[in-house]
Amino acid sequence: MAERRLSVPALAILVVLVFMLSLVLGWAKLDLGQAFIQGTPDNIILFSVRLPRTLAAFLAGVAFSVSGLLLQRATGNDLSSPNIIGMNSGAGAAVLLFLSFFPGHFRLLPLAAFLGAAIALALVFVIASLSGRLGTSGSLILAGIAVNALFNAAISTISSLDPDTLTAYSAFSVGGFASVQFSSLAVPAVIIIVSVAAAFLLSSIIDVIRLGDEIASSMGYRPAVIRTILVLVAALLASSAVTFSGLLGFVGLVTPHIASFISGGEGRKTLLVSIFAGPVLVMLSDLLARTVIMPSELPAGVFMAAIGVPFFIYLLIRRSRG
Amino acid sequence: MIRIKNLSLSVKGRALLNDISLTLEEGRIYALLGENGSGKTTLMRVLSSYFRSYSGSIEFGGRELRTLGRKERDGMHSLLPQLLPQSDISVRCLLSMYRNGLACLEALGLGHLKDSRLNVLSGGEKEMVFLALAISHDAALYLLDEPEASLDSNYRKKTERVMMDLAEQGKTVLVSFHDITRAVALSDDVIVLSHGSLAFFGSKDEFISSDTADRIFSLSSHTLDDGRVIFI
Repeated sequence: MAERRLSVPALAILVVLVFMLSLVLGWAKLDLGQAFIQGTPDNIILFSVRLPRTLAAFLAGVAFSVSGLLLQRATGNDLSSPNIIGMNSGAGAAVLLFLSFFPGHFRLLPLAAFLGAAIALALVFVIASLSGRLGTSGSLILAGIAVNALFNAAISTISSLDPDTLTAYSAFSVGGFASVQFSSLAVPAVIIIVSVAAAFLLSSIIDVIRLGDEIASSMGYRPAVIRTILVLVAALLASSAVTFSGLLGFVGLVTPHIASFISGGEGRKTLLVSIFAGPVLVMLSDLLARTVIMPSELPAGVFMAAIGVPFFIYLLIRRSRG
Repeated sequence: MIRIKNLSLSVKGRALLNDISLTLEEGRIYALLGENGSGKTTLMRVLSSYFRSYSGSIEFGGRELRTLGRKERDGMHSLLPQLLPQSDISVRCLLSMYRNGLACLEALGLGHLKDSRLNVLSGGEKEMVFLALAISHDAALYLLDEPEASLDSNYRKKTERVMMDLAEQGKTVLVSFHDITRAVALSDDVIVLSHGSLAFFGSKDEFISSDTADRIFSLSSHTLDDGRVIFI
């Protein structure tokens, strides 16, 4: 228990450390003495390239992991996450469609993304409710796979018909942060901060909903209303992040499991741990993505999977052994 | 007082409860009996606001359940469901939902479970933890859906004590049973459902002298030398 009590401060320190490392390390060697003098190349690299990129990785880590946590709690299904139930691909298809019709209108991108995610969600829930009971079976996941396939096909179609759209968004389908700028982060950042605050306000209700609809109802709550709110907040988070990170998937699935494992399951603490663990995972992946094969780079999503998958398998095995 | 008038419920075109009228008084233990599928769990779910699309009325102290707000509903009913949720949540976290949750667990003599996670507990321990949660929830009506199904005799005695204590505090307790002998021993009044309709409602003495047990369950009552009544 003692090490668990220390886990939040330790993770907070780790976030700051990885954030710093991500600013300092890279193909171009940074002279910190020069970096704070306006107009020097070091200054431009630090503040116009690495800072927005690191911030983007940080924000995406927060958004996808909190989104995954809210989805898992709302659906009562440990496998739901924004990439698996079609939210990310819905948002992604909407982003690409929007960009091919209105190139350059970055401020409205989060709205388009949210609409895409909402359409995907509506489809998933309709299919799942027609094919079986939500949460209790694999029907939600199966519906998610179907909707994912649909929107991934849409993404491929848009990018084949209009290749220019996708070149601005390299590595969109696995997720990455190359050439992220402050201007494309501003609106999503505000949405993410507000949504995370909402998640904190909802955290005690998240604990109640985990006890099932019968107990939640007897405590006076309306489970269907709560689940809908949680899913919508999850959609806001994931769709905002998709606008600048692409379809970075795995973090949303794995972080809630890591967080739950560390925190002992309590809602607020699990949320707090997710907020720290998600960014560590994403920032590390991005750091590896742009340093391992310098001066070239890989999409961060590749390393996300490389770090996340073995840990996820470890958690699954551990859980099955009680 | 809880007044249920002409309560009916259909879910997806299937009639689950038909025209049930009952009045439940404070400080009494009501045993809810019926065969599988007779509507016991459904009635508990309606009385705990899980099903809200019923027809008829359910009045807690003269106020219709459906019209109450979140906090008011919370103060009306507390449910121990028959199917308990699967979760790896810690007992401490679960029982912090209400102020005296851990105290209730201690009072049941199970304080040592508080640092465990739910998914490592035995069936009986889990039932007792959720019983502690249900009684830490301050409400007018306590709905216990087959609380004894997975319990050994030691835990059954504790559950029995809990029901008595709640009734002594002036709460209304509705408990479903499969064991009719046990139901009659523990309750003040008996409610029997059959195919979603009310088959019997009255004191346990009336139940013992009626032909309900024979008619519904094909069991007859026998009074032992020490005065206990058993159904076989």
